[in-house]
Amino acid sequence: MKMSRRHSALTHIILIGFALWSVIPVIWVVLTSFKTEGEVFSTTLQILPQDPTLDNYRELLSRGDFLTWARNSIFVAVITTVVGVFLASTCAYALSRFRFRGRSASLYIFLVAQMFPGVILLVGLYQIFNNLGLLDTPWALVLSYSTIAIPFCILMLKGFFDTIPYELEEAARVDGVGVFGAFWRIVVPLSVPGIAVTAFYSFITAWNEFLFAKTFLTSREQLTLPVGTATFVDAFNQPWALLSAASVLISIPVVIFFYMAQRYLISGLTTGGVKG
Amino acid sequence: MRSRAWVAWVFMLPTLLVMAVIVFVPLAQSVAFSFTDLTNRNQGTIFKPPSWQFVGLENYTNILTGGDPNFYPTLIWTVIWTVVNVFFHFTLGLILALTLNQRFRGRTTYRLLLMLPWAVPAYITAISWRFLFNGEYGLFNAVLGLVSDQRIAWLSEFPWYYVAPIIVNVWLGVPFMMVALLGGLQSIPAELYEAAQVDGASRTQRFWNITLPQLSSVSSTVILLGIIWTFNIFVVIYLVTGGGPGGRTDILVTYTYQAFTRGDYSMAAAYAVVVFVLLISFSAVYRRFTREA
Amino acid sequence: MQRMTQLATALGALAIVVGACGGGASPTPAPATTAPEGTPAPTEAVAYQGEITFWNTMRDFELVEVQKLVDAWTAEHPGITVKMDPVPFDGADVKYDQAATGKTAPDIFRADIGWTPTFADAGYLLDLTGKIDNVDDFLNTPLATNKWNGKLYGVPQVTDALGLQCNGKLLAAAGLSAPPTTWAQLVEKGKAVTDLAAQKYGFYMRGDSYWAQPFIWGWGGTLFEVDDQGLVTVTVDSPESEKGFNYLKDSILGTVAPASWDFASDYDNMNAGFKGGTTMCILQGPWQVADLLTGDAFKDDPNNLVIAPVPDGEAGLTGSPVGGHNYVVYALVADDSAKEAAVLSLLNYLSTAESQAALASSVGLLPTRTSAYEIDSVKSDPKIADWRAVLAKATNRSGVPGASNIYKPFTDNYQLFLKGDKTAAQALADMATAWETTVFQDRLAK
Repeated sequence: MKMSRRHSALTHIILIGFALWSVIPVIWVVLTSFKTEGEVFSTTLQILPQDPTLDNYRELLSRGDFLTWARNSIFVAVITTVVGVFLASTCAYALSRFRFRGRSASLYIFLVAQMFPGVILLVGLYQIFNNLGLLDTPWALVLSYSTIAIPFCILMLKGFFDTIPYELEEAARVDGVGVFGAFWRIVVPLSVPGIAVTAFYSFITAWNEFLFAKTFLTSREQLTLPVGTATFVDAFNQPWALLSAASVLISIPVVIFFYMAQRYLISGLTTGGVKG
Repeated sequence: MRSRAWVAWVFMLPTLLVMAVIVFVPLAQSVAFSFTDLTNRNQGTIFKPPSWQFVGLENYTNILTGGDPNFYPTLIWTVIWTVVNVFFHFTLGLILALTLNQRFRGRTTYRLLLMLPWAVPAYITAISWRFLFNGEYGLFNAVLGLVSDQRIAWLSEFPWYYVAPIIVNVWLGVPFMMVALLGGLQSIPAELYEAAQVDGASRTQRFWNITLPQLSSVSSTVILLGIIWTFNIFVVIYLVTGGGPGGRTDILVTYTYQAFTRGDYSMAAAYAVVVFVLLISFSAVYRRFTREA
Repeated sequence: MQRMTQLATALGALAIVVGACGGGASPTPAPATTAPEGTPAPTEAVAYQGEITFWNTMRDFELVEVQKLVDAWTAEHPGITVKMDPVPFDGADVKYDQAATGKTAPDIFRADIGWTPTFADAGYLLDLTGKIDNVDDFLNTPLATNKWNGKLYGVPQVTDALGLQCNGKLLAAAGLSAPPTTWAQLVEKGKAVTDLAAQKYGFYMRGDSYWAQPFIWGWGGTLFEVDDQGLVTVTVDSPESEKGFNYLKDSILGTVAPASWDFASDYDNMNAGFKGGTTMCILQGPWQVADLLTGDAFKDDPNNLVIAPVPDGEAGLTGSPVGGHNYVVYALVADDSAKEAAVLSLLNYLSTAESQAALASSVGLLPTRTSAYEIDSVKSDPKIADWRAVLAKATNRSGVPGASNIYKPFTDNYQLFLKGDKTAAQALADMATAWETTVFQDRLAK
């Protein structure tokens, strides 16, 4: 629909305002990452770094542990994504295609599972992982994150699968293809947007999660990026310039991945979960 | 739809197994703990026999009758926190979605810029905004310093210690609502508007009578999700204000975490169960209400 | 899984060694080649082969120095590797607690003095009575933090206390030739260098209860008392404490220090202002000195940083919280007597006067052995001499299990008092109640 002149001006004012609001904090962090600590702790407003330096980045990348944390986060996030997509898609397929006793109970449980705070699981999970020998390993996180991410992914994928007409699989079954074959060869390829959303959501959950990582990981070399970065901000030390550089480095892959996936994200959200 | 149940269960088995180990068992354990006086001092280790006992509903009575003086204030603030945040998430998200739902040049660029807060990890946002609010060296006070002699201790002064984390969380949460509502708007059939226009309906009338009702299904879902996520969000309060000053900005989840790190496992479990029950009851009521409407 | 392989390897190696030596003759020790100057060569030989795990809460630049000592020890004890894990201090006690109950705790842990009695009481720690060399050489206060129920459960590594650290040039500008000896003096003279709107401060306070303690002790108040049975009486809600709190709020804040400040970041802001040369005095510990000396105000003139004991509140009364860290040993180490011997050997090596002196001269942490202060490198360091004066006026902390939990309710109520939400009396009373119900409830003296 076309817009009137006045309407157009108002639209742009609103959008520019919000765009600035969204972008300025990020820009500020990026600028800070090029400043020295002395400049950062100055009482006068300094927008641009007077003597832009890459020292913060250099220091971060030369610290073995930052790179180790990144490696750990990548490992955990990728495995979580694979596990999460597998678990969510198989489960969602069952919920979408089959009518069985326990179906609505299962759906309800997945909805409810998103509702409780992570803290409620901490003590019990710690004991379980301890007994399985998984404490202070990435596997504790992979398992935990998959379960955090799945409910949302299942509901989203189920909604997505619901929109795929069943006739295609019926036809395949007539041709002698098994249930799993129908799932794998017909439904999955058609669900790329939904699966992309699931993959994206799982990755992001694993990459950003803080509480469980803080509780289950102990050794410096096992930490993931969120916990490792937070150690920069303990009660006694907040090197903001260094922290800003870390923030930039950590956010870049996420932001890139996000923008690659965002097209699917919107269609996945609308076709899948949010319609309730 | 088929009814060969066993195939369905095979498909669901991997998920159910993982969830059983990671969710159901610890959850059951936590609920059980909430009926005891278990702490890290009496839990029994390989060095000392356990000395904790069942205390029935004592923890819950303690919480609900005000035996713990911090519980109700924390609950009230958590509710206010949730309501205010979701209100802004939704209204701002709706305004932006409506604005973006028109065809004009640069629309995609705006949309991508506006989604940036969603892309940045939440804990990074929390840590960064904490410095923006820094009382001596932060950006906001530096800007304030250009026009005034007064500095505000954003994270320690009333009412700013309430306002600051809300600002951060609103910054974080608007893009999700915006995107969801935009999707909802885009799936409203154009014919409805055309028909209304033919009937002579004004802009406002079209908005109230077509747009909002058509959005109601998406809206009710995202509002419920928003309420749940905001109620439970840990990193914003923990990393921005740390619950301070004096525990004033603690929400129930950070308060529970403190009980846990203090070693008060049974109380932490009880608080967590209370949160859980609150949210389930609320969502049951909410869904019934929105289904009727 | 990893542990199994390591254990198997260790057992296999041990089997080979024992078989080859046929009797286990000890190898003659070679002189240490990698030890820091002044440290003796570790001479004991031990039969254990394998790994010793060590969780260290020190910061990076401090860890490097400890690693040197450890390397010197492992050079003399081939077949033993020491795996030193840096663990962030914040939350390390929670982690250790969980690991100890799960049998995965490290053999050696650097525990804050406040945590030691708690872990000892829980049974996590090995009884070290009689196993530590030269026990009488240790300073009383740090050693006392390792004692529980008549036994010794740890070895003190470093000790510290809050001192008054000042910028020499600003002192002169305020008309002081030495750091103020009373708070009244600091307030009176500090006004000359204070301009709150321009962020120039005579003093910068923290909203953290650890920093508030001098304002209780300096007026004659106490936190709590512990009797011989380990039972606690909470005494913090006294008129003396109230006076101290009110003095802070009425006389210091808003006059020479900001009345309202960002609690969440005040540690950093305090350091930054001091380093930048806009704050005259702060309360700070020896652990930060190395960092403070890199600031603009001190990097060209380290002598500009002046250290003195905490000023008096009321006549002759002052107090400063003693902090520090101990090395503790996991109780399960005793299951393997060879391993126990190895761990004790390492522990004793790290705790010799010379080792402590090496740590002191490189990172400025204060030794806990009397004899360490006689070693040249320590004796000739003026800053360390200053800190001894600070320690002389510091207040011993009573070691009771769980005592480190007093700080959260303390900080909460203290901050509400600072904000004006509670009167001093109210805040102190609520604090006392919280301590009685959530910290000391298992051992109240009544």
